[in-house]
Amino acid sequence: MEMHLPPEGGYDELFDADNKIRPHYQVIHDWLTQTDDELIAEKRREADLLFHRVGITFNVYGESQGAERLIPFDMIPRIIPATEWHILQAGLRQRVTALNRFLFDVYHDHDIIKAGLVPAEQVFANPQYQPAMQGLHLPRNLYIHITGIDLVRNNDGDYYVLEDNLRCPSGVSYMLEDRKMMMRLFPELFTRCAVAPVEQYPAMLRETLQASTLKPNPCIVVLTPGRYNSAYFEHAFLARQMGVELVEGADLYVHNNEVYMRTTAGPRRVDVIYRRLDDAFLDPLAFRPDSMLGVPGLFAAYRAGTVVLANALGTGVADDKSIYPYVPDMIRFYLGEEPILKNVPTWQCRKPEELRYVLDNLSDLVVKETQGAGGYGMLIGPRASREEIERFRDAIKARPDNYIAQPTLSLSSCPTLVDEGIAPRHIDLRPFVLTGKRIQMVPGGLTRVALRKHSLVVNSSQGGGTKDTWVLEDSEC
Amino acid sequence: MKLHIEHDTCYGYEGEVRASIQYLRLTPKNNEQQKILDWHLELPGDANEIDDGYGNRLTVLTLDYPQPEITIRAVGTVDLKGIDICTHDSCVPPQVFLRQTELTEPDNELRRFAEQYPPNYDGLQAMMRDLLSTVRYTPGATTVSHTAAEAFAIGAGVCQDHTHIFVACCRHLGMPARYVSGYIHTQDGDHISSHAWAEVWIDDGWYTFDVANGLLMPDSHLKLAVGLDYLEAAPVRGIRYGGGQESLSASALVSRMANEQ
Repeated sequence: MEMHLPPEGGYDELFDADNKIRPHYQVIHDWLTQTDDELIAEKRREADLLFHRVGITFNVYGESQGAERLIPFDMIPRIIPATEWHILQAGLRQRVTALNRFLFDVYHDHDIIKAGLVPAEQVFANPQYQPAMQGLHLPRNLYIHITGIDLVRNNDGDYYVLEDNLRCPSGVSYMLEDRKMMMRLFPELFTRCAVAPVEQYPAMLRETLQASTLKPNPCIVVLTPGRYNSAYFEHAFLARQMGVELVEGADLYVHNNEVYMRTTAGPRRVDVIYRRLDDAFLDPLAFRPDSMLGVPGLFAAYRAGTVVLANALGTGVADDKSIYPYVPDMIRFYLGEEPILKNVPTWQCRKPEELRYVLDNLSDLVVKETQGAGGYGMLIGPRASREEIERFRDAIKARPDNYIAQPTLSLSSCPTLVDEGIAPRHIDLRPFVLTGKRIQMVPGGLTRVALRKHSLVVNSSQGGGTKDTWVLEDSEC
Repeated sequence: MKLHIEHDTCYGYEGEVRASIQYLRLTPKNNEQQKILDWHLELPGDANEIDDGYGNRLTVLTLDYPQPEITIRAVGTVDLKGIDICTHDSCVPPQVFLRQTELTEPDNELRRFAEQYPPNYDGLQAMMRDLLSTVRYTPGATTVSHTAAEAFAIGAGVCQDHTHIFVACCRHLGMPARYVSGYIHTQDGDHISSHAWAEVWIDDGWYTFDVANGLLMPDSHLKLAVGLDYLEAAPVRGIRYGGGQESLSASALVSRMANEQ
């Protein structure tokens, strides 16, 4: 099958700068070039059919309501050599540890603020800061049980953290389904390459949730906003894989500051809620009064310490884009270590001199809303029309503190099956980090791919696809 | 000044309420300005007490059997010292109260109004005076769901609206401001005794701005709870299942103890 070479100047995962094949991609490269087109086309049809049958879909906001779309799956895996993964893993462990320490600190003694490293107003006036968490003691001082850290590789070959997702990171079900699909379609590849397994994730998640409370044999539930949520498939999938109940707000109630689940066998006390529902919707008596998705009384039960929420309330204050620039300092402050993973240089529009730079260089920068997520509310300067740039200029001037800007990173590319054959497309990586008694993660994570040529937006809500992510147990494949 | 308070909230229903849960912020706490001599709640069912994070006492009342009506009664005696003009009772950093909420988010009109005043104690006093003449005290002109900007546009409202507008303006000027719910003792009986006012963080203390009464010294105010807005400081916030149409009667009687007068 024809394989298009990557353009010069970028970093390609398969080809090096001289268009030689990187050793860890040799087996896949040979397999791709030697397999005939018809077989690949057939496998692709088979994959589509299987995904339809499994029902992996994703509601896309902004399209007709409830529209479900199949997330495109690309059969060419993204491969990470063992040595590289070991560094990433150490970096993720370090970053998540520091972020958790930061959350404990901003809800207790505020040491990092007193030390002058993070401005008080940035933290306390942030809408994601949850006053209700101040002074509350959580089991193991744990706030972020489940995190998804978005990484990209720039053209310098280094990985950068693009953002931390500390609220309800999604996508892990695609990681698991993509692997199952690859093993089913191409079992022979797995006999030739030592690919680190990922299927232990649900068991690891369950272990993490069990460790989130000090109560032995806790009753764990997954709380979903319901089947109209874009990630409902994943909520159901994880509950089933862990062997715990999937519940909606109406299935739970609070009595005597304790949470109960209605079951056919009568009420059952709930100890841990893996909630896939934002803070604002959890309890209509404490937060948004119009929310029908939450559980009245849950907030008081949580404050009383009778139930664990994973993740905790108010974790968004640490993954807010206006706090992101301070993460390297958090690592130095709390751990006394130098950050292993790089941060993308960030201009904060709330600072007048940085705002001026941003407004003067809009066509070269990526501008993000500090509260935005999922690729909505973002300007990619080099790709934007003049009108889009002017629209952002007005928006930034009106509310500078709502925006940050970063240089346009050139995401690395990975060979991807597209209409014109096999061509390079930009990718990112979201590893999922679990924190219970200890920090654990399955090797790799979810690789998202921007299927449109030159596109840098990999979000599934913006038409991105996914790939299986292989971490090799040996250095070559 | 010693005050005696009897506060009854009674919800009547067309049918029976199957179950309900209420967050009650009806228990005042001691601070520099008020001393609680005696206080208790009379409730129709099981209740638990927690601290809500702002330092308010939050009583959670759960009723899980059918009720024809729900009556909540708070009774107590307090001593208002009337000496300190400001207080320091704060469980969360003052900057938390810089944040706007859906109820306080100002529109352009309200921002323009706020920007006329310098962000200091004198400026805020002037703003308070002008606000009372711009937004006339008019019971029934607004409901509990009106936002600060809406009430300002109507030009009429009650203490809740005055407080929302005032805290919205202070926050817009970069001054932390919080919503206070409580009781007031009035001689003339013009205002009901359940009341709301604002406190603004200036330099190192919380200063009272009772917009509806044009008062700065909280010597007739008993504080129940603080929050970002009405929803967070409301004395009663609840949800119920069943019951049909609801009618509410609330009365708060604040009286000065006879031996004090």
